[in-house]
Amino acid sequence: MRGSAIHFEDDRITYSSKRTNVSISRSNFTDSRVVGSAAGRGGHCFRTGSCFNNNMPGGPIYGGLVYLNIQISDLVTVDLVENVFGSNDVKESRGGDVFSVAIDQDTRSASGGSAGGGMYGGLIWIDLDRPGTSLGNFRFESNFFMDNNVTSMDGENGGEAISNITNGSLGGEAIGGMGGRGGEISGGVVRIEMESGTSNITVSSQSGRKFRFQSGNGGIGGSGSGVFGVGGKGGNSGNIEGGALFNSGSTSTHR
Amino acid sequence: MISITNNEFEDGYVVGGDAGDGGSSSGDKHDGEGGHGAQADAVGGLFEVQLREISTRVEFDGNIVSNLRVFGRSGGDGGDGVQSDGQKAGASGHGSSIFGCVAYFRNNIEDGVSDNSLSMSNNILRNNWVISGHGGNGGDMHSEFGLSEIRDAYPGDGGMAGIIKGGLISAWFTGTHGNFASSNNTLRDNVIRTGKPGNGGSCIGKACDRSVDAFSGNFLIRGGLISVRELEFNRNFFV
Repeated sequence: MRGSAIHFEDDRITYSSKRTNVSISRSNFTDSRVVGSAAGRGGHCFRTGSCFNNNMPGGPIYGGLVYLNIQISDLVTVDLVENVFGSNDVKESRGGDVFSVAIDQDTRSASGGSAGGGMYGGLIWIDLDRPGTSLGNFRFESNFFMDNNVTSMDGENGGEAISNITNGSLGGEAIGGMGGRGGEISGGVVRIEMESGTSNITVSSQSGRKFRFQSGNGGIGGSGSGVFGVGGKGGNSGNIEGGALFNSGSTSTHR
Repeated sequence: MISITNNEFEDGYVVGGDAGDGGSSSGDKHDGEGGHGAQADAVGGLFEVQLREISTRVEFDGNIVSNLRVFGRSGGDGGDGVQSDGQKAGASGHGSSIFGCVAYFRNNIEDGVSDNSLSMSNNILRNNWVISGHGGNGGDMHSEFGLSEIRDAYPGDGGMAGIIKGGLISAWFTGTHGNFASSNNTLRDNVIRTGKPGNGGSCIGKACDRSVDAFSGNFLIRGGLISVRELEFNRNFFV
């Protein structure tokens, strides 16, 4: 999902001296509910040998409300000024279920759980990946944020592994699947990426109240049972970077 | 130039997810190793700036952050294991670490001459709580199945509580030249606390005579309120 309210993508052919101006001001973004649906379950696996991951992670969300992608202009100006973001609830999607049981005497493992989708810019995503000599200006001023929730989903539990060989000296290990990683949050409200060129970023006079940002829980590792059963590793929880407002990843701003 | 000025944030929650527990192992007569609990990942700042190239000036001035609650979450518990020829119950995961909950600055400069500066002044950081995650508990080792030879049993170790490096402000410089200046800031009534380290697992059953004690977890704080770290030389820090 990329920008449920506004989606702007600069997809023109490369041309010298291009300019792009984007301005979003004095707008109300309120009472939206943006929810990704869970990924589908992978195929049923119940067999001798390993079950591999055939379940997909949840779909990520890039900018729950607004998505701007401007990558080839030489001069870019983006203004987000005096907007109101109120009572929005953005949740990314779960990964697909696992249904796998691996059975064997050799070292075999069940499928790992799928990961949560990940949230990149809970409300706003801005990607300005421009040529090396370009100039980018991003102004983010006087916006008001109230009662916004941004939630990433849990990773799924890993599958179960069973070794049914009774003679342990011949058997291998049956390894439960690893739990899926919880969905991460990178920029709870805004995530900005600027890969090259000269950039000026101004973030000023924002007012934010009553926000909540929560990353996903990791899935539980699958159990291993029978001869040399080995429990699966639990899944890592989701990372939070730039929890509430601003994550300027990969910026190359020159003074 | 990156300027973050005159922003005001209050009454917010930033909560990391719990890590998953390790899976257990079970069996009638034979060995099994508990899965390791996972690590709860780091919880970052309200503002985060990461730089990859040269010569950037960052200003963080006149911001007010109050009543922020940042909670790291627990590492996963280790899975239980079954006795055992050097097998071990699952070790537990570490709790969420926390780096600069109000602001986290880092440049990732590896080559060439760089000149980066960070100044922060006239900020008010008040009544914020920053608590890192609990470590997970180590898995138990079950050894009551009457093996002909009693071997060592290894319960899982407890996990470390989340590390705190700069509870409120964390700046991490790499590259060559760097300047950090902090003045006229008010940091008041803030609570910075680590989570509880995890407990070591137990040995359960008849064959625990040769049980090897599991370690419990511990914790680490580097700079409860402000942490500045540099990896090379030519730095000037004025705090």
